[in-house]
Amino acid sequence: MTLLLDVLTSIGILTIVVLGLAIVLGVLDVINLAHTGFMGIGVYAAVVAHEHGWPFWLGVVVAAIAAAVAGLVVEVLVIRRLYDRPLETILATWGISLIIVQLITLAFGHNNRAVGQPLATATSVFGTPYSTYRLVLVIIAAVLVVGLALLIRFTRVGLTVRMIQANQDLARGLGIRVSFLRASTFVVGCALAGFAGALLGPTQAINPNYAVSLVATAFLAVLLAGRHLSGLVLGCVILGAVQVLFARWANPVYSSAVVVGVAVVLLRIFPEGLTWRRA
Amino acid sequence: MRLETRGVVAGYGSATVLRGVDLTVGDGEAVAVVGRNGMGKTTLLKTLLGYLRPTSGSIQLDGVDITGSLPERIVRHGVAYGPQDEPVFAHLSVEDNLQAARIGRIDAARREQVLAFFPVLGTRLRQRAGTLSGGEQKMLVLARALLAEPGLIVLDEITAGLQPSMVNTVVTALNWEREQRGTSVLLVEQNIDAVLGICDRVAVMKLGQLVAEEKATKDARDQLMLLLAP
Amino acid sequence: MAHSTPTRRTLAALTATCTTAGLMLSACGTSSPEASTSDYKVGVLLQLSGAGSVYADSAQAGTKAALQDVNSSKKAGVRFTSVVADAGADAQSATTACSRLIQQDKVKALVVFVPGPQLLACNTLAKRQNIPILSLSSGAGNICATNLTGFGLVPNQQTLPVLDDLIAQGKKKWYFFGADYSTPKTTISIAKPYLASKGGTTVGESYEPMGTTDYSQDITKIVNAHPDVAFLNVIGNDDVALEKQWAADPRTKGITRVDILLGEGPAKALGSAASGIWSSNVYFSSIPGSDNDTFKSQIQAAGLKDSPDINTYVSYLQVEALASAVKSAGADGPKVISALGKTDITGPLGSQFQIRSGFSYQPVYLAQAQADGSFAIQKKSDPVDPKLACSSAS
Repeated sequence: MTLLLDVLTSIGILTIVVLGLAIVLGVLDVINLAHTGFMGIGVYAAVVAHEHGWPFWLGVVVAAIAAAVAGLVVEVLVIRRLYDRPLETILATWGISLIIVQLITLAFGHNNRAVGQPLATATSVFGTPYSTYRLVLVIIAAVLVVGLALLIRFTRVGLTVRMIQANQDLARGLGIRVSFLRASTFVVGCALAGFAGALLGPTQAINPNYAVSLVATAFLAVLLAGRHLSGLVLGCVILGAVQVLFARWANPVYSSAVVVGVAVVLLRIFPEGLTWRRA
Repeated sequence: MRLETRGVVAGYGSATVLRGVDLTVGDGEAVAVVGRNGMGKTTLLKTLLGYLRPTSGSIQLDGVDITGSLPERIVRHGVAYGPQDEPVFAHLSVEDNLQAARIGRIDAARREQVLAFFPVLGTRLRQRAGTLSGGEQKMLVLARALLAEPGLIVLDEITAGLQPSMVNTVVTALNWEREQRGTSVLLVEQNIDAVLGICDRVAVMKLGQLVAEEKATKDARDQLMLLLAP
Repeated sequence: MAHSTPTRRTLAALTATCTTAGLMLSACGTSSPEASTSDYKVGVLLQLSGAGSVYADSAQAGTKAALQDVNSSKKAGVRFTSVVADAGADAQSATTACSRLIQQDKVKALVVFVPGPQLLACNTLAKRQNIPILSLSSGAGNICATNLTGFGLVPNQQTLPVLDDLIAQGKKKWYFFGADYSTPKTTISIAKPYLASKGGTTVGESYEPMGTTDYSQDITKIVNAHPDVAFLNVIGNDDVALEKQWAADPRTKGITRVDILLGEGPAKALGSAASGIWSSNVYFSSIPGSDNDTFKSQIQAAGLKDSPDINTYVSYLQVEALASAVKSAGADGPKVISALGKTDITGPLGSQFQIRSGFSYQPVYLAQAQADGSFAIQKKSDPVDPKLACSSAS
């Protein structure tokens, strides 16, 4: 039971980290190397909220807003000029991540900070006591994925996004304001990053290099995903499960390497990601 | 809706394709641009729709200058455009392609009327548009344009590759739209019979300029066929 | 869709981004002004960027306070000036920073705050020129060189006192968990036989690579082995993540945590999540006494917002030790090196201590983290002789 919960929570955490990254890549074709930077902005916003005595969950909201605002600035100043040029956006977002880390360092120093320990209790799952907060993370991940799926499938915003993904020129010819939608998507991606950053704050060390270790697997999951939400979930499930199960039954030292190996093999078989399209 | 261009010059990079196009489509009027391949017809439509920025000249919609505007702004004036290449979202369902006309805000009664012209679409709403036949995709383009409730419909080679019964559907549907709503129509066409069935006027394009203009009457048919002959 | 001048615009954006980033990073290498040739220039090498940068603030404050003290009390006979360089996150950037300090800035001694690999890289350069290196790390007692003096504890010095104390409390079943890295591996390889010799048992041992973010399955393994004590030997950010996840896991109740690598700053940030953790070190800010109070106010005057920690203490000690060696031996490199091994040094806590075999020999405090994440001193142990993995001179 604990193993199952460990696997579930690992998948959940990976999903939370990955969503913002995947939205930005899936809709904009931008590999956002500044994702960790925006997670950092999020978690430090939560730190500030915590230090003002605000409740943790309010801090999470503040985090998403702060990251969204920063995302808007970055989009307008840099990303907007670089769409349709993947290589340049990689370089630019990498540069932005350096700037964000340095700005956080200047503002907050190198030391560890705290966001508090919400829900530091245990919940019994079929008789197995388990950390309530980690269970809540799984629920949040599920809500995010389902919410996003519904949004994309059943709303006008979702239709617009699918139109842009499918054929940008045709979408413009039907009146879709592409530049507005791109900016909104980037901002939403950043807000999700900030949200993820704050949510994982209680489980990670908080300093200017926040989340750097978290995203290695996240990038693999996004690559595996292709451009569909279902692929993303599948990618997270596979990588999360491999990581936990290998670490449990074999030597954890090699589990990260195995995760990379599995991703490489899968990408060899499905070069366009797990949800390939019929042409 | 009235469309008016004056001296439009446009092209790709240093290659000028349009060399001063003066075209008017009056309110409620249907005009066809005909001409051999490579004369700049598609380039003209792309320029009108804002995909290409003219290097000189002006384009007006109902007296509003739209020269150099982005496509998304131009179509929001009430223009429905059916391009020749990749005219549908191949990976989206037929239903989604229809909804794309007004991004999910389609009037139910109108939808019923429009789909009555294209019964085949009604039976394949869940299918991916890319799996439709070429002709069915053209029907989808036309249906989408009609569902947009536009002031001006711009279609690029809508009848190309269609079997005669489908060409008839196009003619019927567009005439219905003109009668019902007084919509202006601008077609780029090869099919002279379809042109004569729909349009009031025919403009002939040659090497990036409109060189001749005819009333679309049966008498003009032979002359037009001659102009288009290789 | 027209991209008028794509390459130019891209270049502009990229250049802007990278230049800004570059400027910000290079701004870290700063030199103190008004240096004259008779001054004794000390190179300070520490990680200002990358994961190791968490220790930078507290270490720099100690160096700064000690430099002020040395100069105002004329403890070295000459005026000390300093140049700070960023060792970055790997041996490559440490080499670059170090060679700049030695060749360009012509420093006479190096005060170094970097992990083993970077220390080794820098020492290769310093050894050739007989430049003394005063280091926090000693690569877990694996790096020895004539010009190198280690001020941090080597694993046996830090680990054995806490083992003794907890075994005496009847906690005999231990689980050893560490990062897959030389320091934890050395530490655990020393701790295990010692535990056995004292009648304890090792109920499990496992490692995770550095950069691990999710420790749930490791915690499960430890819990399932039913130990009295979990000896957690993970480094830096990973350690904070591990301790947070440990504290949030209800199954870990009743297992005593030992974490000798947990700094006071991170423990404070952990707050209640650190509660109950045992640690051992030569300095805690909560050590009682007027000497420590004086030291703390001195550090605060040097601009550190938080309380001083082991890094502050050691960095302070390094500069003070260097000053007394320079005072007795002059500025000449080899003479300073040999003087460092002979001098009795008075630390900020008032106690005299020595350097043995190139490593510091000083009392070790055992402390336990409280509900607010601060450490309460439980015991002061006698110094332990450093046990080194390498021969003392190479």
